This record gives sequence, C-alpha cells and structure tokens, in this order.
Amino acid sequence: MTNLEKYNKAFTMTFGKKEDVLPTLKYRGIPEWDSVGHMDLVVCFEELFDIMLETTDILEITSYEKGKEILGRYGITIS
Amino acid sequence: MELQFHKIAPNKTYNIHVLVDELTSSNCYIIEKDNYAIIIDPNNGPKIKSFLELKNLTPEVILLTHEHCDHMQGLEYLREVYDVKLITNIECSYGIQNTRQNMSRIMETYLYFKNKQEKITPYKPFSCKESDITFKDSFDFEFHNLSLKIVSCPGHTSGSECITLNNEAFFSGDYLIKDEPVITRLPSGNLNDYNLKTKPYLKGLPIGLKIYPGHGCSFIFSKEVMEEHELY
Repeated sequence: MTNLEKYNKAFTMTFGKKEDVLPTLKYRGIPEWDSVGHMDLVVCFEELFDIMLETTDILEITSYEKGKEILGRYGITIS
Repeated sequence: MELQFHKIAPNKTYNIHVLVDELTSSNCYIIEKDNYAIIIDPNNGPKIKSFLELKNLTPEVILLTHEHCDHMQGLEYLREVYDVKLITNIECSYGIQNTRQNMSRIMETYLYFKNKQEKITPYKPFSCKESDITFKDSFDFEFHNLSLKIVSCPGHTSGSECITLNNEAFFSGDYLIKDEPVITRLPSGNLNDYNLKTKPYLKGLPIGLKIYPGHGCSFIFSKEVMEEHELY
C-alpha cells in the first residue's frame, strides 16, 4: 500500500467518505470531522504510519491537504 | 491538600463517596463498607490515598467502567501502594495496556478541545498492567455482604462495563451522562455493539435506580432519563 493509499484510507475509515471528495475535506467542514473525529483520524494516522504526532502538529491538521504537509514533518511523503 | 470527596449516598450499611478530577472532570467513586473500600475509576492516586487514610479505609478491590485514561490515571499508583485486586473484563484489561486505546496518547488533544481551545495541557501517555481478575460477559461477587454485578457493555469502548451495587446503585461510566450523547467513535468504540448489546441492557434498568455516571452528578433513573438517552 502506498503512502497516499494509507493516507486516504485513514480518511475513508474515519469519516466514511468516498475518495473523490477527500481533497475538499476540512476540519468542521463536515459533521463527522469534529473534535472526536479529529482524534479518531489522528489515531488512525499513527497506526497506519507507525508514528507519534506531537500535539501541536495534531492541531495543525485542519484539512486533507494540510495533513499531507504535517505528515511530511515525520518523513512521510504523500503524493 | 484539600480533599474534594463528598459523601453522596449515606446508607445504613455502606457509603458512596465521589472525587471529581479537576483536569478531566471524571468521577471516582469509593464504596465504603465497614473499614474496607472498593474504588471505581481511580482518577487521582494521591488524593484517593489521602482520603482512604483519613477515613481509615483499606481498599481491596478496584473496578473500572472502561479503559480510558481519565478513569484510571491513578490506577498504577494505588496498585503500588495497596494490595488491591483489579477486576475488569478481558477487553478492558487489554485496553489499559495500550496508550492509544486508553486514550492517553491523544489526551492532550482531547483536553485542548475540552478547554475550548485555549491552551495545551501537558499529559504524559501511560499504560497499566493487565487486570488481576478478568471475565468475558459478567462477573458477580460479594464484598463484605454487599452484592456487586459487573456487566460488559461495549459501545463507547470495547472494554466498557457497568456496575450494579445491591440492586440500588448503578455506576454507568460514560453512558447515561446528562446532556451527552454516547460517543462510539473513539478507538475500540462501536455503534453496533452499543445498539445491539448495551442499549437493550440499559433499557432494562428499573425506574428509581440511582445512577452514578462517570462525569457529572448522580441522578435517579426515570422515564425522562430514558427518553433523553433514547432508551425506548
């Protein structure tokens, strides 16, 4: 599984959305991506990529696109 | 140290005391019988120890309503100080050993949201040792002539359980919290489990039972409570 596939899987598993709408997703932009959903998403990232995110970074993941940038700080390239 | 325990259920044969953790707002309950105690959801080890010493109580049993860190962040402290037995279901025993399932890994983020996004409160991830006694679906035991029943109630987490004391008091953990819907989206949470297993069990509770939730004040189980939590 590529990093992009893992990344998309985290979103589809957490929010139950299809891949074609993922690039439009933003924190609080859909009911599922609230504070609880945000924590669930982060746990999913950590399990899929075997990383531990800093809280400051967790709070910066405000959109699907921004999340790619944040994970890049942990050496994970998503393209 | 200012103790924040309150006696909330004076009774001829036992007392129930509650300690609210300032940081997480979780409730710890101590059931006092003669000079012995059961601790439910040990949220603050040092404060619980101070209370036990003040009341000259010997704790013998610790119970958890589920594996989330805010309900057991004082667990290992108390296990080191006292000869106590931790009784939980198998899933809860697994969950307390895992920093992701027990939520301590993500607790700073949780507290940030809970505090209305004003500051990051440091919270160190931790795990606990496995339970001393485990069970699958339910566990009944006597404690100095008190009757206790623990029932596995998955949904909020896979290790969630509810505890009934003498058919009079019901410790509901993160179920039946006033003005709070049941959260089933966190790690190991499962809405189907809640609907198929736990919800029917809660629907069967007798009207008039005293409910002691994991957060917030105790209350009497009533038709209004059933309606609020869609238990019909």
